[in-house]
Amino acid sequence: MQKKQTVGSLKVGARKRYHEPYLSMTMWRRGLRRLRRDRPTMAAMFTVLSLALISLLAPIFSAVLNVDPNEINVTNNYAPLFSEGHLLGTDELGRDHFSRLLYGGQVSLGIAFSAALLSLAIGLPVGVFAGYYGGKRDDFINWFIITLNSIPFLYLLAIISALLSPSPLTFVLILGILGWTGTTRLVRAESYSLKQRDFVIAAQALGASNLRLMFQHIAPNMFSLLIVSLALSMGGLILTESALSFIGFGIKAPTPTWGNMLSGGFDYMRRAPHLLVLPGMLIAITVFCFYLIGDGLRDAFDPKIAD
Amino acid sequence: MQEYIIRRLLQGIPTFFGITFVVYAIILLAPGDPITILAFDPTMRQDERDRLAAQLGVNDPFYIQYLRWLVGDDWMMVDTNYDGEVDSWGDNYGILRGDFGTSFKFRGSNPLNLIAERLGATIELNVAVLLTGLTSGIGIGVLAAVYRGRFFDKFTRIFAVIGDSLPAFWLGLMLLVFFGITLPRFLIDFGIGDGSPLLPMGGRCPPVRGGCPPLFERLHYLLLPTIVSSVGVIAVWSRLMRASMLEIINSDYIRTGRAKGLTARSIWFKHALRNAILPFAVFLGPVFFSLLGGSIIIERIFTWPGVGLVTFDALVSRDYPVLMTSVVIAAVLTIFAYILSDILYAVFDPRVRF
Repeated sequence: MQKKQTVGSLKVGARKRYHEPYLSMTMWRRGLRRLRRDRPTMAAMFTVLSLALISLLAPIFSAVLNVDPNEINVTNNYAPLFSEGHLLGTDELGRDHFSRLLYGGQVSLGIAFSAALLSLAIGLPVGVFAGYYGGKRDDFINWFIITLNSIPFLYLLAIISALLSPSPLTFVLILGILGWTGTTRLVRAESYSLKQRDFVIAAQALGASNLRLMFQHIAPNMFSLLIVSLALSMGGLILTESALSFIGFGIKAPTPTWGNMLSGGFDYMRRAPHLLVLPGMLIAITVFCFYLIGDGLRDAFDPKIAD
Repeated sequence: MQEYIIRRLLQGIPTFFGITFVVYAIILLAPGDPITILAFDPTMRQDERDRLAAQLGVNDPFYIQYLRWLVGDDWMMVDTNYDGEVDSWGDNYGILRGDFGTSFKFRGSNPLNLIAERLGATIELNVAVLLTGLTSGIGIGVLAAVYRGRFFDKFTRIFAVIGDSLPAFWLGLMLLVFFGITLPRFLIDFGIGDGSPLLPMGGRCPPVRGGCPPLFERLHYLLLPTIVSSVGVIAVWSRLMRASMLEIINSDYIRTGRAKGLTARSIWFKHALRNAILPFAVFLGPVFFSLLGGSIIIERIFTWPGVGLVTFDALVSRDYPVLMTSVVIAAVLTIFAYILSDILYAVFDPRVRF
């Protein structure tokens, strides 16, 4: 248990010897401290990080276990779990399921991460711009977002990727370019309220340019909001990727992703249920963890919640 | 009020044009064309292919195709015998005059009819989902607020997070595996059943001639798809209701009620519940509208013959007129849903003024 030491708004918990300086409680320090105490969020972070790490180390695992994710051996297909030489069995073409799951994790997590970053990179400037200027420009961006959102998202994605039959890179571009509206709405509302704060008005009085106000003063103050939205949108993107793969418009085999492994397993459900269960379980666990992380981060960095 | 409604409807018009233009541009500018799919016949000669393309008009530049789709071509001369020269008036009226074109795949059928045939199945499923999802969601949310901090509250909160993050289609597949494969195989060992699935694995009704039997005779077909689609609804609505109830229960008039000695039951279920539901009641119509577009994924898993499945087929076979029709219907319904929820909100909440 940590001792509760408060002097006014200053936390002095870090002071161990009397000649050490008082440490003021910054937003970051308080947020990280709350985060450390939040067991479910820490567990979720640990899970996601280890999944990512194991996926990244896929070549090493494959080399150690002496398996190749793309090596076809039809005489040994539908091998069950824990069979000889194949830890998690093999799929319909006799490819090693374990190493495919790892390589699929690389692609799925990589797509989710890059697409989330891309939609943030588009959504942040547009949102700050709309919220800061307001008026006609804001109306136009709002109209654009409503237009884009009126097309059911999955229809739009399915249409585009059906017509382009994408590689992982174009897939990231599609998801990012279509997915920024949610971030923009959040950012827009936040920057509208931030621009009326005293520190922004003070900077304006000192003669800061519009660009400087937007990106030096307003945008950095949304950092915690952005992290939360990043975590939540990564979870959503993994779901979207797998849903698209499931209806057949995602990334095509032989490149493994959790989504297309799941939809591949659908066709062989009776023969080998584990081909369906395992990728789906990984998707569900990852998404669940990202949602937990998003919630946890929001609570940790929310200034309105008292310790 | 009337002025406000008219203004909102007018605002929908540019949105409509924006949507259709964007979707049409995406469909047409992307590589690949429907001819290679429709004419998947190696013996077909090149001039036959060209003729088919000219008939469907898929070789024109995309703005011409968009204009023809939008306002028709009965006001201009077109080439009807495909010799490269214009000779007759066109016969398309365009979507603005209610002509949705004809399907590429099922030649001569009106896309609206294709979709209307399947609308019944989608409505049936969505009504079932809304009924199950809303009643259990609201019930769970209210009880979680009443027993705040107790076991029931904590348990349902975890359930809500899980329900939110479970991919609906994965849940559907797991249920299929469980009721179709695992459980029957397991039951065989006890001499129960013959290993055939316990619940229908797809479709809307048993294959009989002359359409589906009445709903109450095929409720078991609805069971799995309804469960799978309602999980998300329950997760979202239980959290919304819980938050709303907790907000209401701290308000002054509840304190007044307590002070004058009302029973807890009357306070929670008569005074608080009604006020907590009100903000969401106005969303019911819009939620239903937006569901009508059909869910491609759920309908594909359970081969539910609804609107989503038509769209899926149109997408696979590049049947542009059908695809555009279902996009337009979905988009118009969504626009209306937005407008309707704003208007309803204004009607129900006396604080909103025009």
